Amino acid sequence: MFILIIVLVGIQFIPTNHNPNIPAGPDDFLILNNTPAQIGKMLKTSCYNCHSEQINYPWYSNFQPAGWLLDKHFREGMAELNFSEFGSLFGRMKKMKLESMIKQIEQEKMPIPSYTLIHRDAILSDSERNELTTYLKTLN
Amino acid sequence: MKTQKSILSLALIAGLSISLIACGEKKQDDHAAGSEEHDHEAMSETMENMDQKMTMTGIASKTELINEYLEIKKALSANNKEDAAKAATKLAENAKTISFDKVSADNKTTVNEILEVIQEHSEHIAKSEMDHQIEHFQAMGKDFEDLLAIVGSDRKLYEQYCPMYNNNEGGMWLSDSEEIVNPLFAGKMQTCGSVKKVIEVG
Repeated sequence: MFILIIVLVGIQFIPTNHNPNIPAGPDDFLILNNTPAQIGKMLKTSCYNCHSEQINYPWYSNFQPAGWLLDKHFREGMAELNFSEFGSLFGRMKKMKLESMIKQIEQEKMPIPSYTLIHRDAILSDSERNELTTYLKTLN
Repeated sequence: MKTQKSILSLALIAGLSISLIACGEKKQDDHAAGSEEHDHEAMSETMENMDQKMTMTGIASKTELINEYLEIKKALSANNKEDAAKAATKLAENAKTISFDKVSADNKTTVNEILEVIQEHSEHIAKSEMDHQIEHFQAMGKDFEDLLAIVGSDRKLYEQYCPMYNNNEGGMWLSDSEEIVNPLFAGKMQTCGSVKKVIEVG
């Protein structure tokens, strides 16, 4: 038990690289498309924490291993899609990403369950999914 | 006993996390999860491609590219996830290294963009479950067709279409035989579809 506590305390001192929170620029998906506020709010709450450079870290992200898990989500998410840089993609790539987004949201694969398990506010209701995909289809 | 177990797993988690951190941060423009390789040799071609290219082990040919696409199609038709993934891994690699010399300057950018998208589709096929493999394969058919419209095909191909795919949204693929063997239903509904277009050698 004592060792367990030592380990738990110990891992708090391992530095994590918290990702910088960069203000959204002209290539940001929401700015680029002049996305309606209501849709923007959904994307920000349900997608932006793993797929953009504007991240809202919850308080517990300062504790391990929660912080590491969030970082892992972020790294994997950014490898697939980065909303902050969306404007810098060429047309064919934009289209591909949009189609993937629509399918992932429709099939309820995104946001991923391991994320919504803790982040309950990121869960999308059926009507929200519908609203979101209907909007994304207008861009495609 | 129990505490020993939890200590062990904690230590494991800690160790794993350290190694994760040690891997460093991902680059923003890196598409493929994991593979970050640097260009070791200055090849004579200048690619205006933001991606770092892998060290070349022989440049892929158009024939290989088409072979691999058809290989994925065959594997999906046979409900064989592993073979589809294997062929897709090769295709992703080759889409990265292939270069078309005879393409006009105007078309060069388009060709490179198509190849980049094909690469990304392939990477998904290489690491996904069957339904997701099919999704990306279906989308990739159009990119392949656009590519061949510019660089020409080395064989006669048939654009085939099934209106029932994805809740009647419809889906397409390319085949080297006129006969329909539908790859979009993981081995089922194999005869659903029709030839929409013939792509001649050119």
